[in-house]
Amino acid sequence: MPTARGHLRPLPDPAADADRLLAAVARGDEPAFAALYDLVSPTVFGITRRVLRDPAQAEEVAQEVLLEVWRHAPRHRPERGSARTWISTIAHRRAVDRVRSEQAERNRRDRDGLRAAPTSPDPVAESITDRADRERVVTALDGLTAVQRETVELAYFGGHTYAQVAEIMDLPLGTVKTRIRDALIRLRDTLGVTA
Amino acid sequence: MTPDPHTLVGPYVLDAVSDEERRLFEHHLETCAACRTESAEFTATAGLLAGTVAQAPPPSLRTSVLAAVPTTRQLPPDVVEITRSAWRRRAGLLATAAAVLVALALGLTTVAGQRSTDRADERADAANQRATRAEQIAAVTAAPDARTIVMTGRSGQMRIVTSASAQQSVVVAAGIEAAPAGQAYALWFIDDEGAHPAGLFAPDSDGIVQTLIDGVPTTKLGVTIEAATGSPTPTGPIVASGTA
Repeated sequence: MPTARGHLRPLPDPAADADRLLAAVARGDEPAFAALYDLVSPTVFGITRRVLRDPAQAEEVAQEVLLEVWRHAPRHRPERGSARTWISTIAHRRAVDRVRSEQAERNRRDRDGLRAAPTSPDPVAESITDRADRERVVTALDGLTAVQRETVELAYFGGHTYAQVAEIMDLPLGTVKTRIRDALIRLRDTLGVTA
Repeated sequence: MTPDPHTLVGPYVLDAVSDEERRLFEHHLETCAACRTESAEFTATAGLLAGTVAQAPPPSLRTSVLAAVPTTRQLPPDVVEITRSAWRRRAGLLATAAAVLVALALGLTTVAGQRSTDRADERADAANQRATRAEQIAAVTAAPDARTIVMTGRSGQMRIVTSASAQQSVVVAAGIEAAPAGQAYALWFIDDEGAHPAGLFAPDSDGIVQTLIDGVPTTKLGVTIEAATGSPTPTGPIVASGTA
C-alpha cells in the first residue's frame, strides 16, 4: 500500500538478497547484477551525493562504484563482511577520493545541518525492513553526544579528514580521534553490529 | 611525531585519514589483532551510515551502468582458493604428489619465484602466504588445461606455461643472462587495450627462470628490459615475444 514516503513492497530479507545476488554476480550473472543495482544504487548514489554535493559528480562516481562492484565481485569474500557493507564501503571511499582530489578548488568548511537523514526530494522505493533499518540507524545517531555526532557528520558525511575536523571544531587532534572512536563504539553497540 | 597507530582506527574506518596515515594504519593492522577486530566491526557499522542518506538515482545512471557491464571484464577469483578446493576434490595428497613429480619431470626445480605485485586485492590473504611457490607452480604446470607458449627473441627461447583454470602462468627459461644492473626482465600481456604489465622476473645464478605470474595472456605477449622497479608501459628493448 503506497504511502507518502514512497511505495513499500515487502521483501523477506533484503540483506540476504544482496549477498545472494552478489554471489551470482561473482559468477558473471548479468541479470543478477541488474537486480543488485536496483537494491543498492539508492545507497550508493545517496552517499556519493551527500559527500560530493554536486549531482553530476555524484552520478559519475556512483557509476564508477557500481562498475567496481561488478568487476571485483569474484574477489569479494563473504566471510569478510556482508555485500551491503562491502558496497557501501567502496562507495564512501571513492566519494572521499574524489573530494580529496578537488579539495583545493572548494571551500568545504561549511558546517551545514547536523541531521544525517535529509528529506529526500526523490523518495526511495524501499522495503518495510529497509526503512526500519534506516530509521534504527538514524535513531542511533540521535543517541550520540553532540560532539560525537558532529565529528561523525563532518568526517563521514562531510568527507573531511580528522585533522580538518579538528580545525573546523577547534578541538585537539587527539580529542577528535577519540570522539570518533567513541561514536563508533556507541553506534556499534546500539545497533548490535558484529563483524 | 608519529601518532600511536591504534588511535587511528576510528578515522581510518570513516576514510577520514590522509593516504600516508591510511598506509601506516594498514601496516599496523597486519600485526594488531585487536585493531583488526575493531576495524571490522567499525567498518560494518560505518556501512550502515550510508543507508541513512539513500536517494533514488537518476534513470540515466541505471542505463549507463548496465550498458557498460557486458563489455567490462570481471577479475578472476582468488586462485589459491580454487587450486586448494580443486585438490581437495581430487583427494588431495596423491594429486599433489603427482603434480610435483610432473613439475620435476619437466625440469623445474623448487626455486623460489618472484610474484607479480600487480594485484587488485591489496589485503593479502593468510592462505595465499601459506601456499608454497612449488605448490602454485605445480598447480599451473600440472593443470589439465595447461599449455605452453614459446616466446622467441634475441635472448634465446623463453616459454610460458599457462592455465586458464588456475588463471596463472609460469615463465620458464634456461641459459638467460642476468639483466643489466638496476634493470629487470618485464613480462607484458598484450590485448586490444594495449600492453599490461604482468610481472618482473630474473634468472637465478644458473641462468634459470621459473617465475609464477598472475593472469594468463589472451592474444600476444612480450618481454622487455625495464628499470628494476618496473614500468607501467613497455619502454625498453623487446627481448622476446609470442602469440597466445
